[in-house]
Amino acid sequence: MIRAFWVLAAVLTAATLTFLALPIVAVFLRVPPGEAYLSPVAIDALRLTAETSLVANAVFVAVGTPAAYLLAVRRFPGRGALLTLCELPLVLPPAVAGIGLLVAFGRAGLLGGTLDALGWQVAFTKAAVVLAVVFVAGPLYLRGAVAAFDAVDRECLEAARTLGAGPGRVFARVAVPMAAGGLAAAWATAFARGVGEFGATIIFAGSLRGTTQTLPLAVYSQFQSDLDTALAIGGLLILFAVLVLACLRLIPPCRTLLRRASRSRGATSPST
Amino acid sequence: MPDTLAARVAIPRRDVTVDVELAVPAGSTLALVGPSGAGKTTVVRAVAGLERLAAGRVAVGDEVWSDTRTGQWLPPERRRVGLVFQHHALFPHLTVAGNVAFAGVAPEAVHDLLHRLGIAHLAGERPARLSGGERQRVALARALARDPRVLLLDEPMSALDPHTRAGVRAELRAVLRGLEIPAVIVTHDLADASALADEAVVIEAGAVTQRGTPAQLASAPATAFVRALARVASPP
Repeated sequence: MIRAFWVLAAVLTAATLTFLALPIVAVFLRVPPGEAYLSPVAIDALRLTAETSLVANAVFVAVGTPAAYLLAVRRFPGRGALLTLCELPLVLPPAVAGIGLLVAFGRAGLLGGTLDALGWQVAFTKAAVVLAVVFVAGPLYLRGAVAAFDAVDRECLEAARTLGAGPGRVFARVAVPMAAGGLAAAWATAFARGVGEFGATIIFAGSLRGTTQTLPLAVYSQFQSDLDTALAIGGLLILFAVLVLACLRLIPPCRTLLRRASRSRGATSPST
Repeated sequence: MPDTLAARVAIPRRDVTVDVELAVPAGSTLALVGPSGAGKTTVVRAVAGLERLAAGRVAVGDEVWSDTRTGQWLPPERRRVGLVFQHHALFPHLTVAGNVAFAGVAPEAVHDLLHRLGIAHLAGERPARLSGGERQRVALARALARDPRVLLLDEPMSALDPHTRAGVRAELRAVLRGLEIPAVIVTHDLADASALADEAVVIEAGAVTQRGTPAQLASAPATAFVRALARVASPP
């Protein structure tokens, strides 16, 4: 009876893994490594995705890290509501996020007039791609960063204060290093989500090759004209996803290695 | 110049209102003794500036750190207070030397402090690799590195095993005897209070129920709690 249960469980596990792996394997079987991966459309989309992701990630890490710290360590009325608000974009359908961004920052949107007066047009530009990624992936980083700061021992933060460190120094020298593993994991997850962003971007930024067409939009666009190129770009995105997952898996061992390395350095220089 | 710590700390907690007054002359050590949840740690945290007073005043000599009448309040980083936390609160990402240097002292001063506390050989180690006694000494070195005007120790020996505890107690006594500043130690052990403090204040349910030297507390306990403490400290 027990043996039969484990056999059944093994069969179900194998079926699950096959189902999950089949589409991924199919992509690479259909388009083996070659020229399709280096088509001009793929290169343009790759470049644009890299550029916009870099800016968007810089924005949500720079803004989100101190904001997450505040939300994690301070208790104030309405904190719960604020956390829920920050997580809202995570559960919004991407198309709704795109329409929301359009009616907020588009030419006829809430801030459209003001932005127009300043000479800035956001919708259907690279800036729109960046905003869409920040809106969709930023909350993922924020949520992970809040959890990472939440896990930091409060007494260490208080000890730093009693040792003469102001709030800024406590944040930079104690909170961030102690939360580094969690922050890196949160960033990697948000980065991957941002690279794969599709729905909000296509509505708010459109899909103009070289201007707003990121890798996922290029897959969709090429799917209608050149399936091999679409599959090749899909393959690139799969490789990227594998890389991110590998990094996430490697973060704790990487930290251990770094710790060991600095410990052996410290042992040779006592005044570090 | 060494000064007296004078404090009245009144803070309402969820289950009890803490209202304690104390004065600790320079060079002497006061033990705050009491059961868990009595408010001992709250008093120490309020002196350090980690808790806001609802009413009261904290001053060291002429320097006022908190005063609810005048609205004065100095943040912890401007108080020059050395606080040893119950669980040490060492920074795990820094070496022992890095932890001590965090107080803003020069490398030579860090080395001197580590040497004084017998942990110079651990300078390059991370806190995770240290024993309980070693961590306690690092926490003390770090608190002293601040060149504090007041030293506060929150149950510094509660995280230690009985064997280590006796040794650390002797070391701590030597350090406290050599200081010329007021020191406050939180403990629920009358033996620790007897070994380390000149005077003890018993706090129960947020209020002071007895004051005196540890010997006076042991010989004439005023409450059932102190009686029980005295019995544990010197069993028949």
